[in-house]
Amino acid sequence: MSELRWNPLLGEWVATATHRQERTFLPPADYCPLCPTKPGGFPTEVPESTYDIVVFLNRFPSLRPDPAPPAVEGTELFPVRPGIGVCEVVLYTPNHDSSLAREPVEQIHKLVRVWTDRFRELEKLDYVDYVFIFENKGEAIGVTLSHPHGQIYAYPFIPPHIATELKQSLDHQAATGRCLICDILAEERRDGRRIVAENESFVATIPFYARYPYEVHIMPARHLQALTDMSVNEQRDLASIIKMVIAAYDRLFDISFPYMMMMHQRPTDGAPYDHYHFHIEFYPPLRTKTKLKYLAGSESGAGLFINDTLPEEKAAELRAHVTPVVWDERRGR
Amino acid sequence: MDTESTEWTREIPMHRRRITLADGRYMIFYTFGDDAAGPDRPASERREHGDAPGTEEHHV
Ligand SMILES: [Zn+2]
Ligand SMILES: [Zn+2]
Ligand SMILES: [Zn+2]
Repeated sequence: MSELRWNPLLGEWVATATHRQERTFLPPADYCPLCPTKPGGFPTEVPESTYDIVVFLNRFPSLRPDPAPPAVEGTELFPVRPGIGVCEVVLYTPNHDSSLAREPVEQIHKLVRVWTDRFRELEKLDYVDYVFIFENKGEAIGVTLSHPHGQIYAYPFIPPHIATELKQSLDHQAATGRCLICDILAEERRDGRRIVAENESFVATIPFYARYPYEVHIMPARHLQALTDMSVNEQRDLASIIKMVIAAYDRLFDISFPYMMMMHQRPTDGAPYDHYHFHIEFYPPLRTKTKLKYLAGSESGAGLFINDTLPEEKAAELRAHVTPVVWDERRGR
Repeated sequence: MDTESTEWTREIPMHRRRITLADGRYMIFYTFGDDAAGPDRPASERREHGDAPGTEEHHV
């Protein structure tokens, strides 16, 4: 069951999704549903003995292409609609003990190509207005499956966070004639203190307005709106800068660093979004090796984030752990 | 089984193979390599095309 309930107070949808557990027999203790199915072994989600990168519809989706009618009837004040959309799981590698940060850059490059392909396919669906590619990583943010994977949600509307960015971008363009993120990028470069990593096509920075201590934004130097706008070189440079950032994350405290990774692209509702500018945002929940940043009263209830660190200092700290990315031409070209 | 592949300029080709799971969900295997069949194509024949949204395309 999945449905969308309207919150008239905030003017946004809430997805209500309940699932019946249909598992009838218990898997072994070390069972990972995202590993390949070993010959003669307990069946996993993937009915093959190996894979490179796999994408599939989530077994317990919040949104689905063929949703059942809502469980309750809506009213004028409380509209409800079926939870139509797509929830995909993306398995990055068959190696259970790996992580995106530990994968070679060639594998991340393959993933960039797969993401691009998913965006291109999902944006064609007429009920999809926004394709959201993301990864939740680490027990610290509640991820129970450690197998390296990400997700893609295809929403039937533009989600609020993106809508705000779009409005700010449009207002900025109306006022100045320029792209907001192009201007942010220029200002970050002029200042320089918050830049974490850089290559020919991308800049990674802990932005001036970071809400989390180690919040990194990756922005393309060229004004583009989606993965599908990238050149072959930009796809490679994107893989490189992602590797630089998340490998530095892992070195920071010498642990597999938890994060949320979110891709902010143009909507797919067919309207023009030339004023928007692609970027990736990372929200790591850690303040220190052992301390979590909680979304408490001010953050959750008022919307004011309290960051008790200086982005200029955190960027310097993270930058010290960035190392160059070396491509192995035999492996992925 | 239909496997599609198209070459990117200067990149190794990416291949997609779509199967339908027992409960009707789609699953897409992405492989990379010059072999048009993809490096880990299984011997077993699987039928493609489930209730997958969208249509298959040829620029992958
Ligand atoms: Zn696994
Ligand atoms: Zn721009
Ligand atoms: Zn953003």
